[in-house]
Amino acid sequence: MQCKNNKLFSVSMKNLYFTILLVLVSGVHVSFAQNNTSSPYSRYGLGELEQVGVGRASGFGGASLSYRNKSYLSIDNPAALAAIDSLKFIFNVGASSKISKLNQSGDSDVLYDNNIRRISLGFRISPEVSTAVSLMPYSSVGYNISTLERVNGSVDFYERILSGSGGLNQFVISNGVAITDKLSLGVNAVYLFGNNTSNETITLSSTYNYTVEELISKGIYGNVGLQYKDNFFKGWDVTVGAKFQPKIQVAAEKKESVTNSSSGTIIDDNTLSKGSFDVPMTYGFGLGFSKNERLWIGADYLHEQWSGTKILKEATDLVDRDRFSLGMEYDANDGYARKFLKKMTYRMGAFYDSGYIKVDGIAIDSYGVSLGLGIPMAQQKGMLNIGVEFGSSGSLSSNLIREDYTRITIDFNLFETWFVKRKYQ
Amino acid sequence: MNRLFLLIIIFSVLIIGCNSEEFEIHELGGNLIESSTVVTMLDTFTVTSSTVIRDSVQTSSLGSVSVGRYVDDYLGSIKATSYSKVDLGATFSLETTDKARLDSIVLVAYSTGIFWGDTTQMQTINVHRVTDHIEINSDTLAYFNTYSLNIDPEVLGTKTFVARPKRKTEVNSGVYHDFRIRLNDELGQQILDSALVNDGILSDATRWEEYLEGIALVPGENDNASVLNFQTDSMNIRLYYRTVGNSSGGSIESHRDFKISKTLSFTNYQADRSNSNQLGTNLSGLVESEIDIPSEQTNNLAFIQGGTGIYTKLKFPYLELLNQQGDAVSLLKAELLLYPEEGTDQKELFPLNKLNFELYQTDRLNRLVSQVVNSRNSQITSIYYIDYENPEDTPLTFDLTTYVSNVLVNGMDEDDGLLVKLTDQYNNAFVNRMVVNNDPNSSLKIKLRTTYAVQK
Repeated sequence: MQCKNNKLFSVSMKNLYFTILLVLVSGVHVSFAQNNTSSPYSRYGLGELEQVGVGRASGFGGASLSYRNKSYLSIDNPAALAAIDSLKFIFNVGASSKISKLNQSGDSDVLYDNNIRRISLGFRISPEVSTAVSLMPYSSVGYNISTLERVNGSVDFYERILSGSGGLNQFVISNGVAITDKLSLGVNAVYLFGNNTSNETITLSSTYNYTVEELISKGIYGNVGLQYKDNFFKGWDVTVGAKFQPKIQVAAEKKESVTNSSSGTIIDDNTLSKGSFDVPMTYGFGLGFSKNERLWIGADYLHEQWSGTKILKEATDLVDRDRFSLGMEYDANDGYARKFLKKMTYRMGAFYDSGYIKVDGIAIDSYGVSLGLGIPMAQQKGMLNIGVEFGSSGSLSSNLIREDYTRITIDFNLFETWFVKRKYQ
Repeated sequence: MNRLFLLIIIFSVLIIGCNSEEFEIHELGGNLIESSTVVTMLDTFTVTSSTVIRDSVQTSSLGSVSVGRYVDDYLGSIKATSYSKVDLGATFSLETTDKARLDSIVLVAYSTGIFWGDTTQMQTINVHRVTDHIEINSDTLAYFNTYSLNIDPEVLGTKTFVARPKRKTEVNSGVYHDFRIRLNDELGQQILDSALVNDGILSDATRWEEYLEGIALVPGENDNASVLNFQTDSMNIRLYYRTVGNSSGGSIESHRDFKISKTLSFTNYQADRSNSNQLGTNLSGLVESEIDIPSEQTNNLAFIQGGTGIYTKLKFPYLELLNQQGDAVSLLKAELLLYPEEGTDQKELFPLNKLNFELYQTDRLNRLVSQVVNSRNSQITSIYYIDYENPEDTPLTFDLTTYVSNVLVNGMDEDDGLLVKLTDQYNNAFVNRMVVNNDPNSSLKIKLRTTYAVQK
């Protein structure tokens, strides 16, 4: 190998190859093409929006705007990247498993969904600037609903299967800059892509009619973040976080095709419209207090102005989303810990999210509590973060669905020391 | 580190592999999702009908022949005459020392159990000698319903009787009782003599043909009874004779069968539709296959009859307008419903139950252009099952989904239509008939019932 002399670099390249291999082998791209959820509400708007807070933030309610850590690749607030370790190459892969119970007028159904939550790579490129790239879902569409309905003007019944799949994904390039010791700024450039697909199959006798409607998007938007950290009181630090995203139009098109089995032909195959949809104007504030880099308590408020947004020139009936969250983290390791339990990081949090859709005048809001655990790996190789969220969303009134769920998020936070010469293996 | 990556790979594969919900269907939440389609049934399409005639109904090689005459209320008099070649079989000869004496010669036949008409009336069958050569060759591939042969006017045998076409040898037996017509002793004696002198008639097929080419079974000229159906497999001319035994001196009864040829047996159907009293008026013009007689001229009725080659022709002049019912019209089901005219299904006399019908696409010249097929590309047939609880409301139905879908996609010609006929071979070569109601003011007129989805 040509670069054998440059051992310093080749070790990390090896790991990079591993990472690429991992992505290919595990078929992550398959999973991203098919964001999984099992909620009829995912038919509305752009789908079920991705949970706020990645990685360790899913253990404390997603209240991450003011959170910063030397090994944390934040996507919610890119300014936090300024805090990452200068000697580390950080890799994150996370997935979640959700068990949800859908309740509707006395009936219930249990569904399981598994999803890749994100893949991130990040490192510091200069003393002031850190960068990260991430691939993660933006929204998910998923439902499979079968009903038996009567033909208009007849006594016959037909079966209608409504199913949704797909979702939007985002490829995010994040940069965090330390402007001063106290102030850092960040910017996310996001490439949003994917298909929201809704299918409808009508079956009568042995003939079926299959309608596919796709919202295909490929567009760019972005947001900026800020963090300001200062001494507060008797060893406590305060961090203020903020985020802003302007309303941006993302290029999209809507296609529809209708296939009939009896003639075996595609009856209709149209691009219904081409244009864009709006990613809403968003702002958020976070306030956090930390002590000795071990204890942190924070709270976030996030506002997304979905009202007035348009999807392909059509006004949506989406509503503004407000999200309140509260979280805390405690690193039990004082640096000398020997007991396993003493080496771990403990997290907890809670949130209320008003949601961005309203059905029959009722907001599909959600709330939940979360618990998290950070388990350090041997030799400072990283941390396994486990978050468990117990939540509920929707409503039982007006014959709507309420979803009670438990979501377990597992996130591998891996470090590879880059800029230190290693011994030969 | 490598172990860790392995762990991640396993973990990722598990995560991706575990989504079971793609294969499950749930009912909750149907009210939350607005469907994009509306499914509607429409059966008010105009279906015009007419009656046409085809002259090429094959009646040979079917395994049965029909004989009888009846007068149909709608379709006039129908007369069925059968023609059959009589096979010599193996050489037949007798020793003069046997001192054979003629007992009798009879035609033995067995019913197929099928009949059409009134079996309580007396009817006659006359047996005649066929004088024309009966042969299927490259020119005559088969015999058809309109074909007839010359016969010797002399009657070889006759029988006037009340038919019992369903009579079996025993109550639960599958074997039908034999039907016999005694033939002239003169014929029997001639055959017996030939056998005794061994003059070659009974050893040479050509000479046998010259002697007895075949027989025709002709119904009584003015009968109004039933048309009967006989198996050709088991029909024969049987010569009964006695021989004197060498030792004992008592006589021995013997018989020799001359079998009827299955392939060289056929039925000729003759109809006289000129009677002005018949209910299906104006059908006398039905003489050529290019002629359509619209239902409007025949009391809003259309007719289907097997052996006489009468088919009902249907046209759907406004069918393509279905495409204008909405956005992206997608046909889910199309059903053709034909209701027999009230009172024309008579369980005892004219049983329609279990008759098997088929459809052909046709053109201006009423040709059988192609079979109407279903989505699996096999021909659509429909067996008519009567609900005897509610006989008037039982339609003959055909699934026209594939046909109508094709029309919606590819369009249709103004002359395109469908012919409804009894299925070939058996039913179509008998006299079963269906009288179809197409009175525009009746709720039981011919209907095309379509169910389709349109995009909202």
